[in-house]
Amino acid sequence: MNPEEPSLRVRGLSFCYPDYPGLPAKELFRDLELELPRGSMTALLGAPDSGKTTLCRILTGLVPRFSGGALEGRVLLPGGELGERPPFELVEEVGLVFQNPADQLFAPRCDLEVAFALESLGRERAEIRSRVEESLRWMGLEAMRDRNPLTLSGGEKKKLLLACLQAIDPALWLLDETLEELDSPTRNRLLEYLEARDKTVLLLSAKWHEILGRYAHQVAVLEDGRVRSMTVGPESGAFGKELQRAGLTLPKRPRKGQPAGGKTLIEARELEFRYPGEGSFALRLERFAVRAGEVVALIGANGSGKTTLGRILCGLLVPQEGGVLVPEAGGLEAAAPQRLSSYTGYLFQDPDLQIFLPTVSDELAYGLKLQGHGAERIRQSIQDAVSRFHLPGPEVPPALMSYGARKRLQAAVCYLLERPVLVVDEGDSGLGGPEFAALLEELHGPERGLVFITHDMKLAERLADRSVELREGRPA
Amino acid sequence: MIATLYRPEGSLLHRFDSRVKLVNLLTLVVIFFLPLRLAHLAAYLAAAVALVVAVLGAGELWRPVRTILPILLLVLVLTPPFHREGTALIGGFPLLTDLGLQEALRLVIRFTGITLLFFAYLRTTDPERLVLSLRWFGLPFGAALVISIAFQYIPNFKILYDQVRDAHRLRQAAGPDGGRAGRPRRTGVFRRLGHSVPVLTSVLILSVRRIPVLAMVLESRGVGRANRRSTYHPLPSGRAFVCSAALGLGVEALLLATVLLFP
Repeated sequence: MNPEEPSLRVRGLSFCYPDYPGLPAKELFRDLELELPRGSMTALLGAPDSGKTTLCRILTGLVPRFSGGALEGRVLLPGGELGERPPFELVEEVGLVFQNPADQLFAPRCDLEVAFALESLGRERAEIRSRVEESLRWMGLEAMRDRNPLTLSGGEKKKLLLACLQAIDPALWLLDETLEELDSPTRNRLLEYLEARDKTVLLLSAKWHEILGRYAHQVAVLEDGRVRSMTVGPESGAFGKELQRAGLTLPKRPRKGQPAGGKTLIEARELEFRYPGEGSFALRLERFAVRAGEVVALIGANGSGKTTLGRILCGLLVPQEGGVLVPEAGGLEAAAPQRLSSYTGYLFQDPDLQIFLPTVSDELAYGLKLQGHGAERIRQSIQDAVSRFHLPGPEVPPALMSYGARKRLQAAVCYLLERPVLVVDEGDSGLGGPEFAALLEELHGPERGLVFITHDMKLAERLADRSVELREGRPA
Repeated sequence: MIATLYRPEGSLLHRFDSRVKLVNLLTLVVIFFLPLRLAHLAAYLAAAVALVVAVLGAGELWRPVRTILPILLLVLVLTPPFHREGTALIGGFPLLTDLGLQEALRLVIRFTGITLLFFAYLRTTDPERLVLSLRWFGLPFGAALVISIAFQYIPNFKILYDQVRDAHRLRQAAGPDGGRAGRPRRTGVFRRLGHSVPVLTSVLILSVRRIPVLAMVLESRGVGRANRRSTYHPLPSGRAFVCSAALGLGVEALLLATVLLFP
């Protein structure tokens, strides 16, 4: 193997998904060229629907094998041309972390999840054991060895997938929006590891993360079906302008909301919550309140209790101590879970858990029908939501939409329910900064309080009126 | 259900080799299907009850029985009319005869006994060990993987169901009647069933949607490779296995003796 040979070369790649009812085929890539030098880290930035996930799946042999579609061009790996090689033959050459971590987990325990690919490779038991231990330790998951992966938080799921990849240690790492949902120390640990071991990395993201400036050897943009290299690097003063030109930076104070200072819409008091039988984690909060017109960023490391707080605010979890108050005729009063569920909207981390119906219009109409609205009102609301949230069309099947588009649909569903308080859990994951800012702007209103959970400090700083940080279940 | 049934503890049955346990389980199931006298079948059921109580505690006994209770009641009610031979127990009315009642009790004992045995097995056996045992008995990897995924998916299905139920609850909690504005209020079982249908439908859709993704994931984790697959957690071998096998053989001999002595 020639050490100068790139780890990946893509030549003249064109791809088009098959036609589906309501979603005519369009060419996603046209003559796409990409080269990853051995041991380099490439940040490939692209808007939510630019085809990042599809590109990753093509490079791992999953598309068009499982999706259908017309693929042309060549993908060259050090082991030879990708061609018709099935994904199971590429395990040691290319590894991929999916954008939606829940899609990639299937084992009943974390250690079995990490061990699975090593078993497929026929590795010795002693080696599997040591690699499983090492990988779980690397991601700080050793205490969760016996947990069902589906009970982990979004960030912990991503950590587990990274541990799975590290256990195999492929030559080429494809990280599809992997920095999203990871806390800052984990991002650092991951990128340091990859740099120290001279791994070839293609990191795809809908937004620029400052930390990439320290590690990425090349930055490129995926737009109009092609990869365009940035003309300047992150060290250049003109880099920001390049990002802006590519639509990858946050506009200045894009939120047009009213100055925060309205009446208190929701208040959690003297909260204490523990998950039954799941370790020592406890959420303890003296007070957390959101006022009308206010946008609050909830930040903190993975597993610090952000999602737990969000779920308590909408009545999906009931605290052992304390309660959540909402305005009633006589002022703020403790609300029962049922009341909270009709008062606080919640956008799950995983949009697919909130999208079930065959078409976008069915999905948007569902909640309105339950509210007893008439056909004309529903039709107008659907039209409005499709346009506001840039959805591909009312008759498009959500299952065939991109992850970002599914997130926008999820937001549109919540928007139509007109809840006074909204909690957006890691809504920026899979969306670029500008798209997320626009989404928040649509959800925001002078009579509504917004809470968004994020790991992106810049986003929190730019879009929120204030930030609340949680650390191990307590305010930092 | 199977993975959530398993509770890792240190009882003798937990430590008993899963392969030997499987053989003993099958023997016991066969015994419950033998044409034994009712009193003898009842004695086997009593033994199964004693096993569950001794290993898992009396509180655990109710769990499986509660699940099958409606079926047991149906069997008790519906079996006698189809076995009208024997002496009528209520006047000259042949819908309930002594033989009919015996047949109903026989079915109830069989069903309860088998349920308790499987419950005890699954409660004390790591699902991964069960799959490894099946492979040890010669089940091909593909079939074992299907069983393994099914076993893993059933508890995941429960988690998914809870998540989707939460999502529905948030969306439906809109009207004065929990989101069912304008519709007649339903109560009790019908209300619960009515609420379950959209959740179950959604879970089914999500599950079907997940099939191609799961196929992708399995292939990207090496399923399909020609090389021999290794195992992370081995089944016990050497002295531990020999001791379990000897004990298992003892159980088999005892069962055979009881069947021969008390037909």
